[in-house]
Amino acid sequence: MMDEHENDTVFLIDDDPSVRDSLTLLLSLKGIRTQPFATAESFIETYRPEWHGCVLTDLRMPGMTGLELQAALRERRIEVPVVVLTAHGDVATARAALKNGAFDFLEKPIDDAMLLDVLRNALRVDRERRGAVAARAATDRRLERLTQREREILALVAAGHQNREIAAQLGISSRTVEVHKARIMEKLECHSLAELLQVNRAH
Amino acid sequence: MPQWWRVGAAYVGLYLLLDWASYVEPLPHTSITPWNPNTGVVMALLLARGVHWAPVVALSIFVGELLTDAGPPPWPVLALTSLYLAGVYACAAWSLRRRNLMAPIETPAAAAWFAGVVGLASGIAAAGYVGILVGAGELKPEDTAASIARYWIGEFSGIIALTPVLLLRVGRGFHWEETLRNARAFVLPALGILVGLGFAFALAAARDVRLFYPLFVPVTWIALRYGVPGAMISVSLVQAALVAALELTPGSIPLFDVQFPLLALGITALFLGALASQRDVALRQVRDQDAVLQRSLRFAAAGQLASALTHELNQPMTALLSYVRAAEVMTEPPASADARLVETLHKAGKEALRAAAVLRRLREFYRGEGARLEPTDPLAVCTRVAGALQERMRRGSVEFELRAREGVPRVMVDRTQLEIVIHNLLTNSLDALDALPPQRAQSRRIEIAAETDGANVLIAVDDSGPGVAASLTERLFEPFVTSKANGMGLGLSLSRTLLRHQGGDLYCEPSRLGGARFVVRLATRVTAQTNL
Repeated sequence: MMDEHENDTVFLIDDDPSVRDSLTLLLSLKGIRTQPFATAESFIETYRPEWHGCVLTDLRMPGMTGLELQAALRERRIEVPVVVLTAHGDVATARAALKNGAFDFLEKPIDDAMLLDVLRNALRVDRERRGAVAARAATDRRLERLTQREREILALVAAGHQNREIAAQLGISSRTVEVHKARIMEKLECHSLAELLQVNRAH
Repeated sequence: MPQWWRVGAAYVGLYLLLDWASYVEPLPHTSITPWNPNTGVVMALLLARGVHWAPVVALSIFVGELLTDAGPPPWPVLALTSLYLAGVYACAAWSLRRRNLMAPIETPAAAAWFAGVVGLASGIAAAGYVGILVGAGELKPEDTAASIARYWIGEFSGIIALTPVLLLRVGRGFHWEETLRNARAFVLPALGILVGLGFAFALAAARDVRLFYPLFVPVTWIALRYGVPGAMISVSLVQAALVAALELTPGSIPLFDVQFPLLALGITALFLGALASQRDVALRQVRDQDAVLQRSLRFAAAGQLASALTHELNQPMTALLSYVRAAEVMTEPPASADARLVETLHKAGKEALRAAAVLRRLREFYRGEGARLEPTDPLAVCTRVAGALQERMRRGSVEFELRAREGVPRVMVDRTQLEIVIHNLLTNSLDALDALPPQRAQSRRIEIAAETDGANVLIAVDDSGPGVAASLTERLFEPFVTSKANGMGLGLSLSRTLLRHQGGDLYCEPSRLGGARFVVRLATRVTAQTNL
């Protein structure tokens, strides 16, 4: 049952204390960490970049509404998936929320099965997104370790040139090219030429 | 065709009865009498049932003269006059029917056409009739002019008095059931008619023609108060009473002496009655319009109530359902629970879902059709709504002014919804003025001003009421917030919702008149925000 990743959290934003309390209880019983907020403002203020998970927010709230929250998140480049709840089943507002990039919307009162489905999907999407970001950051770090000459050689390898051609172009021996390639593989933590090309392309 | 026979029999019966009853003081050897209500029956039949009844009319005139005249002319002459009279009145009826004037008379224009055509027709009828009798040697040539005049006025006056009354049965203009239901309304006109009858008999007894003029008083009063129906019924009764009184009182003035005032009385009553009827119809239309507006307002308010209710109830429903589901999770293994508890929680969850479905249906029922945007003249809408509230403004002695800068363009809105909004704002202002203390009563003022603002039109409703309380300004547009003792607090919330769905808006600011100023913003084009 505890299939969720430990640090994934649902940030629940609703002005109604009973809704916050009951949903937090239900979600935590289903093994999903939940952090309730009474207002969208308090979520924005306390948000920290290392938090991950998804937002589950009511649309109609006094103060900042769900739609305004979406705009505020976009403005701050916070790329967390947002699931909106509509208490009044207002299709037009829900459509606006989706247009603003909401992950999904649910009509209140919500049944648990659908809610859990949507939230697990949202958490998975967030995880994948963060995974991709982390992988790219790691690659960037590794590429930084290469010397100028190694970068030149990597570019020529990626362009599909043979060792001999590279050696002729750079005015060095094939043997030296071979040594450089081995160093590049080592620094980029690659085990095959194919892997090396993939890392380079990802960059 | 039983209907056909009934109409025919009723007509012939009424015609012969009136012909016989009104056969008083005839010129010798003719049926020239001072008052011919029977011709009124002729016109009513031809107008209401169609010109093809002319043969029946000719026959009834022929039989009538044979039966009632003391010394009738020879039958060929009689046949000729009967055919002639029927022909003339059929032509008159045909020309009135072509102008759709066979319905009860309700406007001065209709009264004018009716009186004009009937006056002309009875003149032609009189000239021809007297001409035939003179030609046949029944009348002396030197009497021609006087005979024509007498016959003309007698016919004219009979038609004016009786035809409108008989026509009432045809159309929908007069509501018999409605009138009968408020029987108390009959007391005053009945008194008026009695006074009229009293004057009629007094005139006969006193042998003083000047006593005729007081007869105008009750008749004009009834005409102004009860329109054409009241006017013409009273005229017929008073005319009949006068004829009877003069006839039954020995040695009284000759009926021909009051023939002309009798016609004047009939025409006066007809025109006054038509004016009053027109006014009543206009008033009824205004009232109906207001009723339609009130109905759609109520429906929209109910929708807003349903929406607000759904929102308020959905929150506890969501919590309830989640608690139940959480409790169900708690009863799952490895925790052990009574099987009945598991089942009960399951049932509770199902009931919560059912309640939620009911709420959703309630909301959908009242949502109805969406707004229908069409190019609308905002000033026309304001004028219409203000017209519907005119009566209330007058009662509250409110000064109202509608001001517009030149060339306010049309806006894209749902006309009915805009009417609802303006109606809401105006009634709010009127309520606010009602709440003013009496010492500030002299400054009761409401202004509507329209102006163009870029691609928008702004309509501002200003009033000189107490303004919006500071404690309310923040939450003024939320549902269930109101300053009125018997208000629901839905009007402004509803109005703003309606406008925002159409790309417009509603906001409030202090007015330079001292009260509140509500501004309606309307878009002249359909934009991306519309219906969002």
